[in-house]
Amino acid sequence: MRILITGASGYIGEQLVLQALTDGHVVFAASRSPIAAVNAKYLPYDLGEYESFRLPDNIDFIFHLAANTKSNSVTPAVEIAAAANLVNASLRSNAKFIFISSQVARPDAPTEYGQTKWEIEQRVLAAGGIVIRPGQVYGGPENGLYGRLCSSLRNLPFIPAFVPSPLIQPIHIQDLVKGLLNCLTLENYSGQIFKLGSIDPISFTFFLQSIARIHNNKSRLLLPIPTFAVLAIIKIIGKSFAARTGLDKLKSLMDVPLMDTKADLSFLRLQLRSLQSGLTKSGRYNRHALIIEGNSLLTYILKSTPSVSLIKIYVRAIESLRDKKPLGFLPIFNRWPILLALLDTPEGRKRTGHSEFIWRLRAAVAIAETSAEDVERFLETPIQSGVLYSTLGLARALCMDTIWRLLSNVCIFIAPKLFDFEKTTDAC
Amino acid sequence: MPADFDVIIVGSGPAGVSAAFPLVEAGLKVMMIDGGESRKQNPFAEPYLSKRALDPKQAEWMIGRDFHSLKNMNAQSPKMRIPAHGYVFNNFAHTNKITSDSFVSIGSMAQGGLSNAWGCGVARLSPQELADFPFPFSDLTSSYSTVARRMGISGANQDDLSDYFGLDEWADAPIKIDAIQGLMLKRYESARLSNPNWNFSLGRARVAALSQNRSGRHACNLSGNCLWGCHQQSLYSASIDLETLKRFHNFTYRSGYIVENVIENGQSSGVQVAVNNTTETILATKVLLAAGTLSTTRLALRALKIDQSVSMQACPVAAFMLWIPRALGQQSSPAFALAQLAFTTRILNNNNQHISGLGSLFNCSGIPISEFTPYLPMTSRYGIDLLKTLLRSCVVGNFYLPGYYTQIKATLNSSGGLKLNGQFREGVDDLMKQGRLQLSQAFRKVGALLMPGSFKLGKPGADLHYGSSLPMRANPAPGETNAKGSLVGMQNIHVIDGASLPSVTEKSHTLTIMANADRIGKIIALELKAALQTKANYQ
Repeated sequence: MRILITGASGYIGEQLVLQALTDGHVVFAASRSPIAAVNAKYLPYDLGEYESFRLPDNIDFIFHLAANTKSNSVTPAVEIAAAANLVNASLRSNAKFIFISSQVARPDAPTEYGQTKWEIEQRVLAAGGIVIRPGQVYGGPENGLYGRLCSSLRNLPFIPAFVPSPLIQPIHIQDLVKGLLNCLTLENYSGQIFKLGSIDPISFTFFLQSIARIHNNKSRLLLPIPTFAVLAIIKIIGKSFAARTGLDKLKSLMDVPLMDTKADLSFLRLQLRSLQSGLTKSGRYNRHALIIEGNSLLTYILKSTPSVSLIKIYVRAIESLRDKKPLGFLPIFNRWPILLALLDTPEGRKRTGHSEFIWRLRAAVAIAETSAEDVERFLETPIQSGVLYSTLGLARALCMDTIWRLLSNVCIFIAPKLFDFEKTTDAC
Repeated sequence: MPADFDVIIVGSGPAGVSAAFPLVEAGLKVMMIDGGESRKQNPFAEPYLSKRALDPKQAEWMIGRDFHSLKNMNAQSPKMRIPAHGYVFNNFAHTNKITSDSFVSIGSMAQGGLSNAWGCGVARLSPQELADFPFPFSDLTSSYSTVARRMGISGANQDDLSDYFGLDEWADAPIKIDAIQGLMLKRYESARLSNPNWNFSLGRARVAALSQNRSGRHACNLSGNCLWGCHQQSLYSASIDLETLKRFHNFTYRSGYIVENVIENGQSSGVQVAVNNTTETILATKVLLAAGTLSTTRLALRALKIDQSVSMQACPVAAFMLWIPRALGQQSSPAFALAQLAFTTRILNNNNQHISGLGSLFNCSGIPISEFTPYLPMTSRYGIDLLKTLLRSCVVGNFYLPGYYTQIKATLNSSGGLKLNGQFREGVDDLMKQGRLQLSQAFRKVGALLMPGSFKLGKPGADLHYGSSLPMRANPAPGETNAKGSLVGMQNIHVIDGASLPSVTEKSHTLTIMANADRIGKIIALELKAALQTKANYQ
C-alpha cells in the first residue's frame, strides 16, 4: 500500500512510519522537519501552509496526525481548514482517510483542543473516513505528553496525586500503531469512530505512580493536590500561559469522558498489553520485574552485587519452574535488599502467603552458592580460620541475626504493609 | 516353545549383577535387561573445593541446566538434588506406575540401579538376624564373601564395631579419617575405658569404597566429590560389575527394555517388554526379578494377580548435626564424604526389648551450605555467615531403626499400578526421642554437641531401605517366596532383590541383597545345569 502520514515526526507519527515500513508499505512521511526513517519518502508539510501541499499520486491511505502543538502555533480555524483540504484531496484521489483524534473530542469540550478535534472529526466522517479516538497514549520513546510526564516525574521529588483523581484509559503506542495499521484491512467501512484505550479505566494517579515505579524505577511519595486548585490556577494565569506550560492538557484531562472501548478493540483485533508490560523497556513487565527481584534476593544473600549470569539463572529458573510472575514485594526492598531480612525470619517462613517467597529465597541461596566470584561468601579462606577469628565470626552472625529478628517483630506491628506481597497480574 | 535364554534377569542393579555372575560363570545363557537411563555428565577429576573456587560454570553441575536441584528442592535427601544423579531416579515412578501416599517412593531405571547414588554402607547380618531366613545362616557366608571381595570393601579396623559389621576378614584398611572424626574416635577410645557398660559403640564405617587400587578402579584420593560422582571409581556401583559381565559371550545385555508383564506357562516363562514403542516377548527357562523392591513387587503381584495388599518394610531414619567445639577454627581439608564413622546404640522399647539403631557420620565440606540454611532457625543471610564458619567443625549424621517400624502397604490397583501407603508404627517417636537423648549424651562424651533442633525424623520411606514385600519363608503363603526366592504359585519366577528378604534390619541391606542374589544364582545355576545335563543324556 502507498500511505501518507502527516505529523510523521510526532510521538505517534514516528512509530507509525516505522511500523508501516516494517509491514512493507510505501510510506510518504509528511512533516515540517525531515524524519529519521530513511526508507520513508519525506514530504514537507506545515499546517500553516497547507494550501501548498500536493498529494502524491495513487495514495491508498492517509493518516492525518498533524496537529497544533506548542512549537507550531496555528489557530484552530487553520487546523480545521488544513484537515478539510486534505480530506478533499483524499476524495479526489480516492484515498481512504484516517484521522487520529482524541478522547476529549466533543462539541462542548472545555478546551479548544477538544473542540477542534470534534470539528475535524465531523468533516472526516462526512467524507466517509475513519476517526480514531485513542485514550492516554504511553510507552516507547519519551515524546509527546508521555515524554513530558516521564521527565517531570523524574525531576519532581513527589508524585502529584490529583484529588479527585481523573480516570484515564491508557493505550500503549505500539498497540495504537497496530490498531491504526489494522484499519488498512477493513472492508466496507464508512464514517466510523473507533475508540481505543484500556477497557477498564485507571486513575491518573496510578498511571503516574506506575511510570515512576516501573519506567523510571524510582519510588516517590504521593503529594495530594486538589483538582479544583489546578483549575483555579489555570483560570488565573490565563489560556495562553496555560497552553505554554502544558497545564491546559491537564485541564482537558480533568474532563475526560469515559469510552466504551471493548467492541472497537475486538473489531480492530487488538489485545492491549498491560500497563506494567508497556512501561518496561523490553515490553515484558514480568521479565523486567523478575530481574529486579533476582537482583534484590541475590544481593541480600551475597551482601554484594550479583553478577549478571547469576541473575540470568534466577530469572530463567523462575520462568521455567514457577508461575513466571514476580513476588511483588514493596519497592523499598529493591532499594535496600538488606531489608529482606525482615521477611526472612524463622517465624516469617511459616507466615501464610509467604511460601513462594521462601521457595525463591532458597533458590536464590542455591544459585548464589554456584558463583565462583563469591566463593568466599560460602567457603572460608585459610586467612579466615583460627579459633579467635571463627568465634568472632559466629558471634557477629548471631548478633546481626538477633537484631534483624527483633526489628522484624517491631515492623510487623508498626508497618504490617511491608510483609504483604502485591498481587501482580499481567494480561500478556 | 523353545526358550530364548536360560535366564532373564530383570534389572542391572546390585541384586541383578550378583545373581548374574554365578549363572554366566556356569555357562548358562543369560539375558539382563534394564530401563536404560544412563549417566549424562562425567565425574570431574578436580577436587570439590578447588572446583568450587575456580569453576565459573559450576551452576551447570550444582543446579543443572534444567534446574534439577531446584525442581527437587523439597526432596528429603541432598542426593536427589544433584544434577549428575538425575538419571538414577529419572522416570521411575511414572514408568512403573507407582503412586504413593505419605510415603517416599524412589527407584531407578538406570544401568546399575540405585547403586549409582548410594551411600556405600555395607554390613553382614549376624546369625541371630538371619534366624528368620529359611536356610542355615552358613549358606549365606560364602556368598557374603564372594560379593564383598568383588565389590571392594574398606574400613577393616580392630574396633568396637568389628563384630557388628562382621566384614573385616574381607575388607581393606579404612580410608583416611578426617581431623574432626579422628578426634572423636580418639576421645571415644579413652571414654569407653571409664564407661565399661556403655550402651554406645563407635568405630569406622564399613563402606564399599576403595582404600586401595583394585582391578582398574582407583583408591579414594579424598577429592570430596562422593556426592557428585567419583572420578576414581572408588565407590562401588553395580554398573562396574555390569561392564565385567558384558565381556562374557553367553551374557546378553539389553538396555531400555521396560518390563510390562512377567509370564509363566508350563515349562517356560518370560517377560513382555516395551521397547521403542513396540511390545516384545522374550522367553526363558527362568525369570529373576531384580528390578528393585518396588518395581519387583509390582511385577510379581501382577503375575500372581493378587489384589490384596502386601506389607513392606523400610527403616525409619533421622538426620542430625553435631558440633565439635574443639575443631572450631580449623581449616577444612579434603575428605572422604561418605560415612567415616559409624555408631550403634540399643534403645529400650515399650515391651522392654532392646531395639538396635545404627548411624553414620559424614564430613560436611562436600555439601553445599544451601542444604543447611532452610533448617537453621536464622535469617538466610546471617545463617550463611554462621554456617560458613561453623560447618567445618561439624559433622552430619543419620540414625536408622529396623525396617519393622515402618508399616507399608503395597497394593495393585485396577490399572496395574502399585499404590504405596506407609506410616511409622506406634512407638517410633518414642524410640527416636530416646535415641536422641542417648546419642546426645554419648556424643557429648566424645566431645561433640548435638545441635539443638537438628535431630529430625525423615518421612516414611525416605531411607530407601525398602524390602520384605515378598518375603522368603520356610512355608510360604501366597504372595511370599520360598528359600530360592521362587514365588508361591509360580515355578520359574524368582524374586532376588530386597523384596525377598524376610526382614529389614537397621543395617544397610544392600550387601545382604547381593549375597542372597548370589546364593540364589548359584542354586539356579546348579539346577539348570543338571536339567540341561539330563536333557542331553536323554537325547
